[in-house]
Amino acid sequence: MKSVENKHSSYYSDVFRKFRRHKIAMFCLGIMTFIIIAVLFIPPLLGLDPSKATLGKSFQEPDGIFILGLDRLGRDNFVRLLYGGRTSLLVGLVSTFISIIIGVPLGLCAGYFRGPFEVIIMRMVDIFMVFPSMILILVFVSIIGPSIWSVTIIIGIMGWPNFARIVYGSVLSVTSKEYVESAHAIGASHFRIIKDYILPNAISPILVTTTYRTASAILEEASLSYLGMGVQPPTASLGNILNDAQSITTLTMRPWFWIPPGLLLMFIVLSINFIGDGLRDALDPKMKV
Amino acid sequence: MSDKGLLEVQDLCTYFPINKGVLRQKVGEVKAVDHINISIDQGETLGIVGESGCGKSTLGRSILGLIKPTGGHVLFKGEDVTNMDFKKLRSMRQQMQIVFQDPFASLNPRMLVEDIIAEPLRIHESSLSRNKLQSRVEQMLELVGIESDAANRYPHEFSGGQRQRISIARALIMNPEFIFLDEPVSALDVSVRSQVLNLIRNLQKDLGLTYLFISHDLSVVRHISDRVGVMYLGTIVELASKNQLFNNPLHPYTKALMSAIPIANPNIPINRIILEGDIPSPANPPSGCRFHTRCPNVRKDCDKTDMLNRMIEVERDHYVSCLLYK
Repeated sequence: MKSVENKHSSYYSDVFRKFRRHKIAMFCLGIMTFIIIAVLFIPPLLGLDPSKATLGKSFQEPDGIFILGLDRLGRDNFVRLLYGGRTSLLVGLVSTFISIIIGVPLGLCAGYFRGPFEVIIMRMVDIFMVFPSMILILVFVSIIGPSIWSVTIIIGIMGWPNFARIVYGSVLSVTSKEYVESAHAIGASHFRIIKDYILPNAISPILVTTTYRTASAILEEASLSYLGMGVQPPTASLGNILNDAQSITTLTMRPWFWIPPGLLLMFIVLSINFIGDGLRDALDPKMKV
Repeated sequence: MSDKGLLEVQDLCTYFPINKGVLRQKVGEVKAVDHINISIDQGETLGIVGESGCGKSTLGRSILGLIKPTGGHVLFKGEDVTNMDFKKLRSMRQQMQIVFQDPFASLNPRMLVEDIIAEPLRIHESSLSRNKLQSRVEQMLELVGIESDAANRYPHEFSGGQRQRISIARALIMNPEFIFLDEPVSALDVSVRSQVLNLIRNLQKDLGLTYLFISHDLSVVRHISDRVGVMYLGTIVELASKNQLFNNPLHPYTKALMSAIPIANPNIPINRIILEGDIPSPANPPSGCRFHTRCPNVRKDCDKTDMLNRMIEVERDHYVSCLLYK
């Protein structure tokens, strides 16, 4: 006899099997795992401190000990890079989580119950979407004051319309399917219909949006920090590291200041997007890989 | 019509509002089902035929309460389904089920066949043990002629005919009395069609089911029905036993439909009645008899006399809604 647990694992093992065959996604998952392990475990294991300055050695070029050299204040560029990656991932994931918590239920209500929910929620989405979000974020950050948490929360709140809109759209298309009507016909409750019919069939666009939003939240944080309105020094973030590298001398003479953080940012954003693509394909039961 | 029917449809209307403009004001309504009276006896199959868009499916869905009717009553075993509160309607759903037209759209692609079939039991008999649940599912699979290892697979692994059997199993697991079959075979290959039709018929015999069978295919309806109703623009224009209707169609629309059935004998001269014009918009139906704009036998008072709700009994149990038989 098969238990319920077994059944679920068989569905997800199927998904996992399909995901493993997606070569780019697997490669990117490898890169992301490597990056996450690196930024999480290397600094504490080696006892590295991002604020520790080596006096009198500012702008020292890379050598055997400091592989990316030292910055203006004599801090280790490599350690700051790892901490910057940490900040980026933290801000990206937490703010996307906030967006999901706000956006998904609202989109569900708008698409499933329609009526006044639809009008109010979707018009709010429109209002949020017509403002350039970067400018709004700048305004809110300057009101609340820049810090890692204010930036995370504001980016998270500003991201909800993306989820609401995508969930609304896919809920609309799923709700019109006959299998949802068949659920009504057997007397299923709204909760059951949303849980077993709507959400599982609307999950792919939510996942894809999650990856895109995480990637763009990371970029937004980096832009804010670059502008000096995001994560404040001495806390390292990929954005304020790049901000530090703005001088002509650094740009022309010290590429190890800005190429590694730029590449790290690029790898994080690209990998997340490709992982999302792989997940989307793997979660679709009609897709035979 | 008999007064001890399992299901009585009284003056049922389902109108869909047409909203326009920023404020979504109602500017009109589509009269999909307009004052329909039918009754279905225990154990019989009532077939409904009609063109696409004449309101066949809306009629069935309104009967089941999947679409809230605008007016009228549906009595199931004497109980009014239309004004039931949500809780009672949910338990009523055990006795009235539906099989959909498109087997590729009517099964949740993210659920295993076992869960699809067992779900009604989980909802209405949540105390049932897992073992019992499983044996019921296996029993149902056997009943509809699918091997029992299908339970652990997903719907996309099955063909259209098999999926339709799964739909039937899901509809039957609560032992319903009434099943609304919404063109259950029109999406299937011709070769599979008769198998599914025969399954539907045998199940009726074995389980004493009552069917409302909708189709636009006259030969399918003829094969399965006891009585047949012909729908045109939201109204029933003729209602009779299968033999009466096919041998002696009375309404001009029914006659035109019958003349369109292909005959597999080139020597029999075909006398097609070709209807002029298009089907009028149900948002703005013609006055009087709905069919008078296209009727070959139209008379001068056809557009003035309201034929809604007026069924003339021409012979025993043969009703027609036409002035010619007044």
